[in-house]
Amino acid sequence: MATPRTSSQERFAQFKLVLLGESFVGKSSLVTRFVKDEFLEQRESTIGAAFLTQTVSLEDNKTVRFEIWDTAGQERYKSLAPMYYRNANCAVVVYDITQASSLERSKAWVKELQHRAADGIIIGLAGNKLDLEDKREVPTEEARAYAEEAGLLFFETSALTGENVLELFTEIARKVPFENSTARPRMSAKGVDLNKNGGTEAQGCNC
Amino acid sequence: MHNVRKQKYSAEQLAEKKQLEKGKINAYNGLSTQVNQFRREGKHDKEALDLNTKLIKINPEFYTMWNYRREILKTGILPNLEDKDDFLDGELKFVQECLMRFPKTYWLWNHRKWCLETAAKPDWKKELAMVTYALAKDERNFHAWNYRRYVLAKYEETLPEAHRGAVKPKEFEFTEEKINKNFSNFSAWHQRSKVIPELMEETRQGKCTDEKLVKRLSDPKTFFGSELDYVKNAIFMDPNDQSVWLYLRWLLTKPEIIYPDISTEYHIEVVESTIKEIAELYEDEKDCRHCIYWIVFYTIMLYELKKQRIPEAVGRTLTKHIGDLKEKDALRKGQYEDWEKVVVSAH
Amino acid sequence: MSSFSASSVSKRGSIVPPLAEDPAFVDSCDVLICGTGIVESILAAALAWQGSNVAHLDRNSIYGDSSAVLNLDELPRWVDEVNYESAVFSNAKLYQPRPLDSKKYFVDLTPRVLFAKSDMLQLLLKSRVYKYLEFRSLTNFHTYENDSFEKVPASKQDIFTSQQMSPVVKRQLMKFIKFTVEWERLYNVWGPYRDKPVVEFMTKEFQLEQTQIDELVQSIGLCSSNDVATPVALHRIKRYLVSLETYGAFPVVYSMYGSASELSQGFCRSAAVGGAVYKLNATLTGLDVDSKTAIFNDGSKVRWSEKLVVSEAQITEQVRSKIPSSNPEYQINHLTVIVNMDCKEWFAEGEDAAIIVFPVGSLSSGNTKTVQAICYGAESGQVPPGQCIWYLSTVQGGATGQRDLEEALSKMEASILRESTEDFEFQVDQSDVIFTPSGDPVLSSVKLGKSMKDFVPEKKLTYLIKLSYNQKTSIPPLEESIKDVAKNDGDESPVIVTSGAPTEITYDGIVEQVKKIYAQIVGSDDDFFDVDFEDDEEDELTGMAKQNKKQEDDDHVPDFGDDMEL
Repeated sequence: MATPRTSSQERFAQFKLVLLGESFVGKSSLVTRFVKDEFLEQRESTIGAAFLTQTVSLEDNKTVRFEIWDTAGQERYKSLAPMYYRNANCAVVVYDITQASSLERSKAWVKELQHRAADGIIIGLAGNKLDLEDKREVPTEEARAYAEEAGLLFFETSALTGENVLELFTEIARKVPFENSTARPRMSAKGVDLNKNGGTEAQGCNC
Repeated sequence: MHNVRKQKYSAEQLAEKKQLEKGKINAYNGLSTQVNQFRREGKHDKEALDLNTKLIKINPEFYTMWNYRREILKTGILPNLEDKDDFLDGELKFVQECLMRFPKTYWLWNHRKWCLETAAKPDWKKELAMVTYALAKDERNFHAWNYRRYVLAKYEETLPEAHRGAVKPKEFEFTEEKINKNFSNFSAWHQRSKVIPELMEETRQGKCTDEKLVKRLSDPKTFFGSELDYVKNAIFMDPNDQSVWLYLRWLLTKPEIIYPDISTEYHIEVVESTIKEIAELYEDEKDCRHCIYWIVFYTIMLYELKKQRIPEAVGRTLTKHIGDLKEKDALRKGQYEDWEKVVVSAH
Repeated sequence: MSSFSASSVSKRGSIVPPLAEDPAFVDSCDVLICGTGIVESILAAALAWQGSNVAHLDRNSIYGDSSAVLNLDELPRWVDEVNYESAVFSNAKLYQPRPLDSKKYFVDLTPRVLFAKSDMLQLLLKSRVYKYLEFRSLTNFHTYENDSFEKVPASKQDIFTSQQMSPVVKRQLMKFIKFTVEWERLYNVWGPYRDKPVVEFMTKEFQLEQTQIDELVQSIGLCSSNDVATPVALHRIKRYLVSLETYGAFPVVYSMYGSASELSQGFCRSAAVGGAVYKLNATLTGLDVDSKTAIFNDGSKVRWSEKLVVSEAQITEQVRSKIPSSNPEYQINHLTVIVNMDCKEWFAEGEDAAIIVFPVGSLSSGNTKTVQAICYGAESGQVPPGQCIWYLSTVQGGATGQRDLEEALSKMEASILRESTEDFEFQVDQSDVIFTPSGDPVLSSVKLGKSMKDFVPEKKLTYLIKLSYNQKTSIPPLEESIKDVAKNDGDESPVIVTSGAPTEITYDGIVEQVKKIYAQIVGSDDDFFDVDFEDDEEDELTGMAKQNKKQEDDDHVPDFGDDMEL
């Protein structure tokens, strides 16, 4: 993973990216492929409680780091907390091309996002499991038409082979408004990083 | 990845870990043997520098490595460079990284000094900002304070004549900021005692450009009084802190630095009231060794100023105090015995 | 049955339509937890990481249970619902003169601040839950005295630079502070005052004056009066003192967008990652304690093998008879207002939050308990720019408490109007002006307060929201003691009812409470959050470097005399 560059010509920004979509469509696999270039075998899985991070380098010396939040299964019974959506700059809504109903469901997630997340959130729609072409139930054109109408970026991906995964995230990195993306507020000067000093430094009251 | 449950170490894993640690130590020892070998051979090339860097990164307090590093730079690296300053800038960055981890290592500060003195156009302003930052992290780091005095002088030299008068007033304020933050700061009081005479001198020469300060300094009696109040305030808050007592001593033993026309009468008056205040403090702080010490110190000083012998009653009290001090503070026995001689002669 | 979720589900709920084959909820678990309050949420995470199978549900559509954060659509519904039926809240009144953009407001039902050195903060770090949250600092603790708000001098710097205390008072204060930092091991000093009010101890042993005692005990210590027992007050004053300078010159931090509810969401997410399953909008409608089965309004039936943990607010009429009853006897009165001013005058530079304490007897209502107010500006994420939310509360119950709150509110209003009026003039004579060591004239603020008594403001303060309510809890104020946190301590009972949160504006007491319940379920709290999360390994070879450096170090001490130049 590349480290943030500080040189004057290069620019760096960090964004929060949330994953959405039905269970078992491959949300975690997609991210694992992107972040670690590995394929997650077991179907039910979760990325670490915190979040994974991955950096994308763009043209013009721009570097974008994604802080990627997985649902941790809380989407299953519609129990995602407001915290999940808060300050999300971008989202990837995933459906499974071998399941016709999953595109319909992803439309509902897009609506949910537009309702609960901040205005101007960049949403990528990912039709996953492209490697299972023979079992396809969702025609590419149908999904593309929906994505265009709803203003979403669109890719068909395969977490198994890695096809289009990097392309999806790179395109999001290009589209996310670089300028007003002062990372997340807690990274701002006014925030307090609790991990600093670890609350353990025994300085006491300085008497 | 965060929040992945880490397995408890098994005995086997622990052994492995231990082995790894051992390996690291061996690696370090191997590295330092190699570097020392290079030095004996007089090797001053890039390879030597890289290995030296590696070792210093691990252990920046290994001072001979810094000496060797300068040999390498002087002999094998800098002479072959077109832009020395650019290289030295990188060197400063390297030292700064080490300083983050070891801010109290003299050799690091020393190497910065060498880099800047070797550079064609050293940026002293930037260096001043750097040392200010170091003091923001730890306002009591005396290495940083010492280095600050050096940088400040260099920085002032680079300024046009007309702007030099602004440096000392700013430094005076800087000491106050640090003292206010935490007055248990020997270095900050020390710096204040250094800056004040310089300020007085610059004011006399009409060099000082800070009008507010010039106005304050032009009334030395009031300024002297406000410095006394300032430090006494701290003494009252924490009579067990040594640094504040030392600043008070500086004020009372050399009052003419701030107040050149001070009369002996006034000096006596101030010392007398100080003794009274410390005695009051002592009533409330019977365990405070500093209180007794300074009561004795100023009482002896008072009668020297008065050019009088210490009255017998006073002498008896002092003898008792000195006895206490000898008991509690064996280290300075010699000094207390000297005092005893002075006091006993009064009996 | 009515719950605050029952009606809100239909109106608000989720946009996501149910799947044709909506996945069935789990039918069994080790521990079933109902209620996503802070206590239950930490418990869920601790149990999940310990390896228990946890199912965690809440009757509401949002996280937080009785410590929820509400937007302005949810607020009026909540008021109706708690007035209809609630075991925790009562007597809720809401005044909103005109419509507001509801999504820009977050009203915290039980606001809390987090001490920089506290068990909750340590737990946030250890569990990594802090990573989900955003924290801001809060420096200013004000005490209302002499009709004005004084900033409490508590740090060495504040005391040293204070222009209002004599050197003697400063020394007494410093002595007391030094003592308090290590009071536990100085039993010989406070022992005789073990069961006596702290005011007696501070007066007799440290000769402190009323003003300093009020500030130390009620502001810094956040005690409800100067009569609390000496060790209790010392513990609480120390909590503030040791927190200072942990992260900076401020004692507390607060989470943005709300307090306990934010932490709840974070711990629930942690629990989910640890394997717990979550379901909101699930009301407990039936219970068979013998077969350890719970039935929910959506038809799910969940069997638990170890314990059912349920919060007071989750117990519906249908199941009340099957659960040991509790008797919440302690009250907190709340008064929350949103005003059309940013109140910057009260905040430290670069901050947007302050705490204001009205000591006992400082209000004309003759208050016998303190009134505490937390004020947040827009940086808290709870109100839009240019506005401020004031959370006032007191442990004084009933109408008396409400009167105290109203009285405190009027003082806050008067103060902010005075302080924000720039062209305010008044008579000053020479004796009111003090000079700082740097020669700057400073006005004595006692004088300021007196002069302002008769001041008539030009501006008017508008209340955009005014909300009052009464909260009950079965946990006594921490001043009294921390006792029986979970009601049925018989390990045999398959049901544990959690008590409400302590009557505190801090998180103190909560972690202890969770640990006790955890021990009740697991057997002991030895492995409470004993999880080694993988973290960045320590810098390579650092330890080794330390070993090697020592020798050279000793030979070369840089030369530095310990003598001031003479």
